[in-house]
Amino acid sequence: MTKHESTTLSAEDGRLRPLLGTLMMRARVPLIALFAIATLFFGWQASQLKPDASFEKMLPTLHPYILNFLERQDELKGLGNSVRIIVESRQGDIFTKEYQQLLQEITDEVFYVNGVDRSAMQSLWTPNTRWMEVTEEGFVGGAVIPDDYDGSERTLVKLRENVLKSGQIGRIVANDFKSTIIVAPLVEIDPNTGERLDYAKFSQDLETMVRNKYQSEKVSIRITGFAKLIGDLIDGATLVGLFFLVAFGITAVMLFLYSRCVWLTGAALLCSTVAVVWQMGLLKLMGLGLDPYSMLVPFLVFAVGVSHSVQIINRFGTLIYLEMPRIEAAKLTFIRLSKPGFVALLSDGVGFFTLRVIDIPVIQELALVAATGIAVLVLTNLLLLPLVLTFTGISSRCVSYRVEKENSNFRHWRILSGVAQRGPALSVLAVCTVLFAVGIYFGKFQKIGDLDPGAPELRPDSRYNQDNAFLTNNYSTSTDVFVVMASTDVQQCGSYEFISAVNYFQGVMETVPGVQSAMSLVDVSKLAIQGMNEGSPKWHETSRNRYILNNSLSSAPSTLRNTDCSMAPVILFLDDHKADTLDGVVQAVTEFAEQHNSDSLQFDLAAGNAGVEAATNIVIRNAQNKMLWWVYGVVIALCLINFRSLRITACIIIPLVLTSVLGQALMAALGIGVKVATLPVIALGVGIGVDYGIYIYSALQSHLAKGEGLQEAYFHALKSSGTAVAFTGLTLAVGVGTWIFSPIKFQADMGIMLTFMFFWNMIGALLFLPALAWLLTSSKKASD
Amino acid sequence: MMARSNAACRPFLAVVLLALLTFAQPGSTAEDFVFLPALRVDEPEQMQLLDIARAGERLVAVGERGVIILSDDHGRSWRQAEVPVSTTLTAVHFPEPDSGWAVGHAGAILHSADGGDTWELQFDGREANRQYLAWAQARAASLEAELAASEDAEQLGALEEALDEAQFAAEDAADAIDTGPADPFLDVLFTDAKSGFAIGAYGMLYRTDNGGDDWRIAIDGIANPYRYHYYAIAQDSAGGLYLSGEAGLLYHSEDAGSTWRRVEDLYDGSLFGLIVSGERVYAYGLRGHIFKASTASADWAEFTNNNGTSLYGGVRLADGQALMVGAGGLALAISENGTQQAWRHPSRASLSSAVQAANGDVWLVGMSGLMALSEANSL
Repeated sequence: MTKHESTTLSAEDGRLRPLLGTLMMRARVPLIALFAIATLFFGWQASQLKPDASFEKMLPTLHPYILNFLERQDELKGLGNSVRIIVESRQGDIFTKEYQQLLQEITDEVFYVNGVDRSAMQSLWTPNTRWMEVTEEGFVGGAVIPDDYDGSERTLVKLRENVLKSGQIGRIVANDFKSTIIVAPLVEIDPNTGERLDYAKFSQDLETMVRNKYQSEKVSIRITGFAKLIGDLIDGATLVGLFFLVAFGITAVMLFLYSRCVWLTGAALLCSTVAVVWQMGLLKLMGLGLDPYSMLVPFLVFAVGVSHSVQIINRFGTLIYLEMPRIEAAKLTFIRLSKPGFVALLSDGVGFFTLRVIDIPVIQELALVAATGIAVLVLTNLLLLPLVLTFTGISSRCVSYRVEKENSNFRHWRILSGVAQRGPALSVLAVCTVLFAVGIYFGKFQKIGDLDPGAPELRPDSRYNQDNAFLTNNYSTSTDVFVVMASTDVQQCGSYEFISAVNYFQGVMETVPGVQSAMSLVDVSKLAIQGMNEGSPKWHETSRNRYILNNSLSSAPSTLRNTDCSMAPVILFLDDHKADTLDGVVQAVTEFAEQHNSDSLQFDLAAGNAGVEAATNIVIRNAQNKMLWWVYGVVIALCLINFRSLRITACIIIPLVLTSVLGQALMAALGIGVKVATLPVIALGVGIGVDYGIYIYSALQSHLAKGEGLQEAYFHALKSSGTAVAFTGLTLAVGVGTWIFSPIKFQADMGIMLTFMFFWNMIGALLFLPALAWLLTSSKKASD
Repeated sequence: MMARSNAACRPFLAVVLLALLTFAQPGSTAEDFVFLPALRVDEPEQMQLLDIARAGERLVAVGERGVIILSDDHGRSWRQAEVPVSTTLTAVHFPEPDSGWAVGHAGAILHSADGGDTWELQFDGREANRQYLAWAQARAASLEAELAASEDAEQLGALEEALDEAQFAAEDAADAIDTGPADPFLDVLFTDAKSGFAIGAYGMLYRTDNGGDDWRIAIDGIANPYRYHYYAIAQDSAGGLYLSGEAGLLYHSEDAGSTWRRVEDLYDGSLFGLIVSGERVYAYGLRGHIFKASTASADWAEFTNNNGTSLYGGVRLADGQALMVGAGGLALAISENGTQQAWRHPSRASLSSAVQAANGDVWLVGMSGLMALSEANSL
């Protein structure tokens, strides 16, 4: 229908846009200069963006558990923030001269890594690792490394004996004696400079100074711990640049195949890239970092930019083909497309912005950043692109390609338009009904939260998670830690009332499925009392006698109680961090607290990685439906405003619902849980997906209005906007598809889900929509 | 209740009343978790278990958090009994298949009349504290009377000293009432269906002659001025009783526990266990020290062995071997002719006691729960 494109202004074009267009064209040189200067400025800002991985932003900060945790954060700090460097002997056990010498060297090396709390470091070679024994005279003990250690067979035997008596097996010595751990607690704030620890640098230091230097055929080095995790995340995030280049390259090729014009391709890529630069610059200006999470946004902005550019270059190409001069063509393109473009971008932006209803900072930030990016696109693609096109023009090859295309008979669209007929429409509807049923059924198996063992941020087979798995397999420790904060009055954490309540609480929690063991001050007390009674197992119990109890707690580590002795963390070690396990723990703690909390005794949820995840799961479970209501509410409202018809709205929305349902089933099938990373995906998918329906139906509607039959109208609609829709679907899918290869698990999960949603939304709009239109128009006729 | 003079009774009542009042103070209104029923546990045989015994063909083990477990298939499968307390239980003894006692922390003494399925609390530390206070006050009162009547200057000094001690003990006992039920019983032994002893920390020694309807303090006939812990009690075939404890305490009674003779200067460390096997009796404990005597002569001598780890409990096996278990998963069997065999359980968890099932299997219990001797590696 492009032949019917009017080259003269009509009433439909209004007054404002022609005026703006005229002004714009007149001032195109200064405008482009202005854009160039702004781009330089934002580019300079963007170049200062720092990779940033903040876990706090991924917490639902308004949830009561998280409020409890944040309130106590300083007191709980000592609990986790250390790195464990596992030195594994590849040949034989750890009781060899070579191994011990290496271990000593590595211990010394770690000592000098910036950020390590040297006084609290522990390995077989630090003096705080001691053995102890009860004799007739009382306790005797010493450092595990014998005083006269010289690497001889005799001193190695003595070392082995000391290790057995040290109680460190399963802690810093592996159960199979093939590896040991160097525990390096970290200092968050450098006492000399007052600066916060730079995790990226710390992690890099560990790699260069420890892993790369000492890993050999004799020993392997494994590193786990929060700081290392952050470091690996930041490392992984830097790969995103590469993904961007790949997405850029594929998009460029696709654009060229579509337009067959280097100039048009270049102009579209340029403007979309400018949008990304601006958006990143604004990120920096808003005081945000390059978070592995909101890194998705530049890809989306780029992809959305390209798909809108396609509309513009398409129209520009048509006008040039109609032999209009460049500037006039660009101006008319602006006049004709700025309104629908603006409406479409507005709907994307509003769709993104609904994500603000979720109380998780990182999602709210994503909503803000994405909305900003979309706003930038209004300037760069609706305004800048027509200006650029006045300079680039269009190659003659492109024009001849267009002639060829115009003269073809569009066989593929002819075939596709068949779905608007009774038979094919019924089959499509039947298939979609089955897909709905399948989707709803499998969607029931969708899980909340993270499902894989190890650090859920990284892939299960990442080096970090392999190191982590090694740790859990060879040591008596779990990395899924759920902390309950037990509190009482000031200075009462050593009272029998408190200790016995915590003891009973631990007993209750150990009966909860998924809880391996519980640990707190109470265990220190029990062990100390057993020790005071010559190690007799029958004394492994706490005491009501306050002298004995105080004595037993005198050596308790400061991490197990706060400074004013009003709170003691109870650490629950879990089998995993699956939602069911966490739900069970939360329920048990809540019940216990309801029964036993009093003025002087409170059990508060929750800290530890599993505790935080439990709170996040709760927020996400509630947010999922809330978000769906909002996003569907918004797109339905937009459709109703645009088309003023329930029937049309249904035609556009139902395919989106099918995509959402299938998306949930896909998540269940692929073992991707609903979590901070995947929650916004459906909103993004629906928000952008609605565009296809709007384009297709708008075109369809205008042809129907001319009195064409449904199939004929749909054929013409496909001819004018089918290619653009298909192209948009593919560009978006490619833009996010590269993420599937990200080493960061949640980026990959987002990539899979978004690719699926963008692609399937396109299929839905091209196939399911016309079939629905057939159903609804024929039923309308029948009812008439 | 023991018979006592009115003079001793009045202050005793006053203190009890005082104690009841202090119990009613706001600070003490907190729940007592010790006297809540034991929690149901999924795999109770993996809890920390401290003693195991036979109740006829059945096996019964006791341990932390009031856990008592039963097996009717010689240890292959276990179920948890219903127990009214959740404090750590340290010892169990069934003089008859149906009737048995378990003792533990907070001075708890539990009785089962159905082979271990259900248990009732017969006695606890609150009553133990009251009886000890009454005993100390009665002793102080009688010493005062004796002191008033005595004119011998030499005797006077000794009496004054004893009175000081008794008064000090009474103060201690009053404090203990304030503290509440604390100290653990560490062993229990019944010499017949009705008569038994419960012994434990700080010289606790209580006995019953009526199947536990009442338990009475029984420390008049034993000298333990420093109130060292008693760890084990055993009986030989002739009816002689042995009692061992902290700081090398070892006593022998030939009058069914009325009076106890101390075996002097044997050893300074704790003797955690006693095993009687035929004519021989073993006392063993800290750092692997083992002492042996013949039940006839009661002449004790160190039984040399090259094991240096503490031994915490044990059992006589059907073939007459004495099996002792202890720290680091060690098990040590001594045959009738004195040959030794040692094992180490791969878990290296400290062991506390052992039993031989009716089918001959030997089970060990300790910090990591129930384990089979057959899993242990011979040393």
